[in-house]
Amino acid sequence: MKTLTATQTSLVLRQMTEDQKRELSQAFLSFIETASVGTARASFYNTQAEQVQAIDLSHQKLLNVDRSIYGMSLLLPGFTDYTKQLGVVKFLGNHRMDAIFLDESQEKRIIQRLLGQLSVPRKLKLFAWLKKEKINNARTRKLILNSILSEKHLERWVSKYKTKIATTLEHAWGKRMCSIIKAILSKPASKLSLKEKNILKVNVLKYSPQNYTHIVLECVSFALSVERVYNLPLLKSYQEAKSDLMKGSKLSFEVLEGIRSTYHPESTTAQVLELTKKQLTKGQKIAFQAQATKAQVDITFNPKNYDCIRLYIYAFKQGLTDDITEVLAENAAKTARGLPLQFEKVGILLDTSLSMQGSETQWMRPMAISLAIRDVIRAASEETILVGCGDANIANKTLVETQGDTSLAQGLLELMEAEVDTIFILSDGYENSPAGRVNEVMHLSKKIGVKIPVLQVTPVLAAEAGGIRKLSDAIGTIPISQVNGLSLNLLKSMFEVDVEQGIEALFNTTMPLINQ
Amino acid sequence: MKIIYSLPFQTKKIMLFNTLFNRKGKGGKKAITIQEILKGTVVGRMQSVGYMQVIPLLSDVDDKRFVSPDEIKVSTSGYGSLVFENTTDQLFIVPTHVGYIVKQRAQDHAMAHTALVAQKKQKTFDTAMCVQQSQGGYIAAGKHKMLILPFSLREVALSKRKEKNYNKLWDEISKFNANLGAQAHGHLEYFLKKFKKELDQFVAEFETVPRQVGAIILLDGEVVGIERTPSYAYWQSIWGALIRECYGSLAIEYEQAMGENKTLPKGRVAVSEEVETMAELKQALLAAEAETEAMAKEKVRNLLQDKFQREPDEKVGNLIIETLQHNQFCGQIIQEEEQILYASMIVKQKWHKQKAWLTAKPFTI
Repeated sequence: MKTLTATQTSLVLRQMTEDQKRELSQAFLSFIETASVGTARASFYNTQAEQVQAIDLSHQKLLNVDRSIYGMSLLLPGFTDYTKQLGVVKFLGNHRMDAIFLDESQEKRIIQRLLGQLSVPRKLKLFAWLKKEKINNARTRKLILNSILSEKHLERWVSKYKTKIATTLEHAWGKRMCSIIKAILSKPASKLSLKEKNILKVNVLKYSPQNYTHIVLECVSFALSVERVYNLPLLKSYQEAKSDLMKGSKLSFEVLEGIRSTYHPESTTAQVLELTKKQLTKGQKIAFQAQATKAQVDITFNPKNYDCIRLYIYAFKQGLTDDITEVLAENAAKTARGLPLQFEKVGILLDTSLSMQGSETQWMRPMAISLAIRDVIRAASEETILVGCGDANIANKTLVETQGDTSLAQGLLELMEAEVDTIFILSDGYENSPAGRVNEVMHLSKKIGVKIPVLQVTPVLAAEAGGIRKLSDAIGTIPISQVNGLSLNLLKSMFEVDVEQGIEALFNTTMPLINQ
Repeated sequence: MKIIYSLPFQTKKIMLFNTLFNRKGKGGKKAITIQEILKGTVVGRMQSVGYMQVIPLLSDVDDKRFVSPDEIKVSTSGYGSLVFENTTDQLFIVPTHVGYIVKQRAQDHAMAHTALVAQKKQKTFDTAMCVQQSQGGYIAAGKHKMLILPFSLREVALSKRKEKNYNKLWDEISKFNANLGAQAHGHLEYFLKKFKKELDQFVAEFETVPRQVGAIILLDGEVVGIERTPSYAYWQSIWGALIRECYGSLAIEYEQAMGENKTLPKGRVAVSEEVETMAELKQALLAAEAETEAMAKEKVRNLLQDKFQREPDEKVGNLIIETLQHNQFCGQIIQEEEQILYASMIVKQKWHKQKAWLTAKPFTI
């Protein structure tokens, strides 16, 4: 395994022509822009198909320029799960050619690291994606089978995602082998021939820990719908809940709710919520608060388990409590400490217009992201001046409502007049009173000698197909979908100034992760 | 009475209506002005993106007797028959030229006029129009996403509001599509599909503001539509359809017609470049905003006293639906005694095309 030092990296880079470096820089910057925000969901402004196309293009561009830099870039912090999934798809779906910096084992570790960062549903979504793309080369099959069959919580996985796991296994084994395995598992263990035992060994047990043999075989049988009696607690509970709902208390909410709607339509969702309240995940606890309150079910919710964006969205729906306010402040201070820059006197211009509400499916997310970023900038600054468009009294408000049109120019001038060091405009970029006014003011302020750097931080739910909407060509833009995306943008700035410096910073950040 | 009985039925109906409601007969009806139509509202800050400008109409009156259009179940019971089911405790005003493009194997339909549906009632309108020529099937009842017909189809649709003929708009849709480079058939969805991205942008660019019940819509500095609704919630629910399909389509037509010869939008005042200090820049910004507001108000002020001819269409309880005509505008209003609850008026195609001539000053020496 070769590990290049920063100096060696510089040597390699120095052999690149200026055009190649420019191409690399452009590809990297375009990748960063979509990777930190890309979720392939429809946004207020773009369709899902447009998002998918935009993200895919930015990945493919960087992959074409250099596979190693693409791989290292995928390990940067602050990227969405969709970016990680697409990274794995790209690696497995494209033949490995000579890469400048990374060998095969390092590339394998990148894939494993990306996979390890995904939650179970996201992993299964990735496997479904591989199936859709018809990617099932040896590396892919091994990755899938290893990931599923060596999983120590396989019993919970199969009880929750039975069909998805069956589909994934079928993709990895092939339809024929899958039916053979199902047929073998339908027989009593004592009646299996040597050949059949060998098939199970090569296709199933090879991937599982030694003392998990019986668990793995029972879980695979369950996933493949083999008719038999199950002994593992969750699988047994699943089987029994079909005739007696009360026996499903060990199952997750959505599994038991599915059984209830099919086998016990006379029972209610509230009963299922009561039965499964101990099994709710952190995400479900926050998501079900409204439903639980309505059904008078007490679900304990600890704000410390959630990031600031989710807490803000929760607060918009359920109200802001002292506990949440405290956690928001703690989290902001923690994130601010990790920023490579600290500020003295900062101006924040917050867009409070109606479009900051976001789409129906991502209600209040743009404003939640903006408020979380506001908190971090405040925590990283000695002094902050905060102004809004439409709402003049937002300085002391934790939650800021969205309403009205977008008129930012006046607030921008107020901050310039206050002679702050840097101005952050937290906005979706859709200005309408009138459109283009911020741009006019920016150019005129430059003309009269104002040199305050202005940055537009745009909360995005997905990669905008045509890039984010800029308020002015004289303003730098930062697309943000997660709070820790701020750090990433510093790296972006380094790339913009000097490609070599940027690549070195990329190496310094990601090589330790690959070699861990 | 003998005279009345000898007249055609439609004329008799109007005469009777006018007698009952103390109005003047055809050709001599008591006219109404835009000032009266907009009574009870004030204008908000103008929003301006590209050639489109919107002046919000704000009001302290939020009449909650009326349900939002997105709460209503809609279906078709035959070709040319739209059914509205109002399961709520509020009255329902069917928006003028509301339409439904559904993802069902069913013929898309639109209304040719406004209407009223009482609380907890279902009402069928057999004057509706098919807007999807070669598709069969009826729309299943449900809360479907609405649109308001593209601006260029509305005047014709209004003129045919009493015709019971499901295909009455096909030719116009076909011409409209052809004009915009979409397939020349009576399928409105062809246009919607071709310009989906542009239309979505309009929704994103123009935002509703607090206390808003209506808007005056301008294209390149000229008023092209006036919309008023009874409540904040009603406005919220209908605005997306108005700006997207109705006025958005007009902006697309306008931009296409301009071709390569695009000009700066009229009515958008730039900040003066004659500034040397921050104080001067702030002053210049305020001046530009004040001038923009004054220009917008002037455009509207010029229309306030114009008189509209009124034609009564229907009376439901105390509420009266009227169709208005004027050399510049056509549209419909719903009123309760003197109070205007709903208005939807658009500039006539002829006036829009010949506005330079029609607004030219008389010759003097």
